[in-house]
Amino acid sequence: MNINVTSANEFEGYRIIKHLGIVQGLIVRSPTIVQGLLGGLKSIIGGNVGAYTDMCQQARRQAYEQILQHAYEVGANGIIGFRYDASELGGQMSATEVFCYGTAVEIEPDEENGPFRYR
Amino acid sequence: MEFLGTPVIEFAMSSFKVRYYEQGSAEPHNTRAFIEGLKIRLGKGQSQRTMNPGELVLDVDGPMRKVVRITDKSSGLVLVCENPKLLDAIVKIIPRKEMSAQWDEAKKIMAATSARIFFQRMSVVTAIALLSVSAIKSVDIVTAIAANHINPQWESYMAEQYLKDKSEHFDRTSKDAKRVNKIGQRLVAKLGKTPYHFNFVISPRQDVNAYAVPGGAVVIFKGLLKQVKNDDELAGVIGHEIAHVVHRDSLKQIVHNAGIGIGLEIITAGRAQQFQVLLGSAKNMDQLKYSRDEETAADLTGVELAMQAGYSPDAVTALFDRVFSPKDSKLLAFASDHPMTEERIAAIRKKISEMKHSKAKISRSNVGHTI
Repeated sequence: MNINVTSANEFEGYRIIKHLGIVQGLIVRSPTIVQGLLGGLKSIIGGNVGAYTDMCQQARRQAYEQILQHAYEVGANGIIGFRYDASELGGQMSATEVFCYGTAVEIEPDEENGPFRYR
Repeated sequence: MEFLGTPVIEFAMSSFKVRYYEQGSAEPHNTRAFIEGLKIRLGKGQSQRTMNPGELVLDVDGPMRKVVRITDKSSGLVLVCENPKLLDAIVKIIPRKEMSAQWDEAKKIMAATSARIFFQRMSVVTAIALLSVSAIKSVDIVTAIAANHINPQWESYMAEQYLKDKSEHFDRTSKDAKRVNKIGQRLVAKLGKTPYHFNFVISPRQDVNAYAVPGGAVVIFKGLLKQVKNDDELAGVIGHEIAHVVHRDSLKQIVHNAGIGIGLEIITAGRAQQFQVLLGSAKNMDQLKYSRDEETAADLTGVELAMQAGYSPDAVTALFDRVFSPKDSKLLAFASDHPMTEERIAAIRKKISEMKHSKAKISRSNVGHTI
C-alpha cells in the first residue's frame, strides 16, 4: 500500500474522505562508536561533519518509516500537515531526538476537481 | 467436538505483547493478547476487548512489510501482529474456510521479521563479545610485553624478598627439603644458561599443591610430598613449577593483578618505582592463577626437563591420573589450582612419545626469555 505524505493541508486532485487522527514517529539516536570518533575528529577542523550528518539522516529516515508504519496501522492512505521536529537530549552525550507528526487521512481521487480536469 | 465446522483443540492459555487500535482512533494501545479457547482477548479488566476469529480480515500490504494488520470486521478493532508465535496461535483458532493465501503471505512476513530481529540481537551480542574479547586480549598483550621489560635481576630480588619475608614458614634444612632441592637442581642443570638462581623450599601446609615465585623460588607443600610415590612423580611437579618461572607466568600474573596502568608504565618508563608497586602487589604468590595455555606449556617444558634429567615421564601422567580420581578429597585442591583436563594429559602423552622417538634438546623457544 502506498501512503502519500504532504506538508500541505490537502492533496491536490484528491478528496479527503476521513480524518483518522494524529500519527507520529519518534527516534532518539546517539552516534555509534565509529560515528562519534570520526565526528569528534572532524569537528576539530570544522566544516560539514559527515558522520553526524549521517546520524541525523538515519534518525530522520527511521522516524519517517515509523510514521508511515503508524499510518498504515490505523488504516490511512495519506498523511497531511506533515512536520519534522528535533531537539537535543542529554547535553554532552549528544543524543538527538527526531520527531515527526501529521494527520492520518483516507483520500480518494477527486473526479470533478482532480488531475482529470486538465484533460 | 466441533465448532462451526472446525475441530476444537484445547489450548493452554498463552499471552503475547501486542498493540491495537480502537475503530476510528489513531491512539495505539499497548497491552497483552490472550488466546483463550476460540477467542482473542486484548487486555484485562474493564478495558478488555475481544476479537472474534471468524470475523478477521488480514492486511499484509504495509509500507515496510514488517507487520501484519488484523482487523475484526464486527468490532472494528485493529490488532498489529509483529510476533510470528502470535500469528501461529491465531491461525490455529480461525475457521478453515476463512483461510486464504493472505495468511500464507502473513506467515512469510512474520518469518522475515523474526529473522531480522534475530540478526539484530545476534549482531549486538557479537559486538559485545568482540569488544570484551579484545579488551581481555589487550590486557594479556600489555601484561606479556610489560613482563618482558622487567629485568631478571628484579625477579631474583622478588624471590629473595619473598623467601626472607616468609623464612620462618619455610623448611630448607630437613631431609625432605634436601630431597626436593636435589631433584630441583638436577632439573635446573638441564635448563642450560638461566639468569635465575633456583631455591626449593617446603611449606608445612597439608594441601596437595606447589607454586612458583618469579625469580626462581619453588615452594612445595608438605601435603604434596605425602602423596607422591617416588622421585619421578616429584620431578614432574617440580619441573612444572620451574617451567612457570622460566616462562615468567607468575611474573605476568603479578603484573596482571597490579593492573593495566602499571603494565603500561613499565613498558613506557620501566623504572624501579613501578617495580616497588609490583613488590607491593605480589603478596599472595600461592594464589596466582594461570591460563590453561600457560599450564599446558608448563606441563610440556616440565616433562621435557624431567626426561632430560633422566626421570620417568610416565610417573607424571600417573600422578595426574591420581589427581583426577575423586577418591582422595585432599588431591582436589591441586586439581582446582591446576585445572586438569583430558587435553592436558593427552598433550603430555604426545610430548612423551615425541621425546622418546627423538632425543631432542630442550627447545630454546620454550624456555627462553628476553633479557
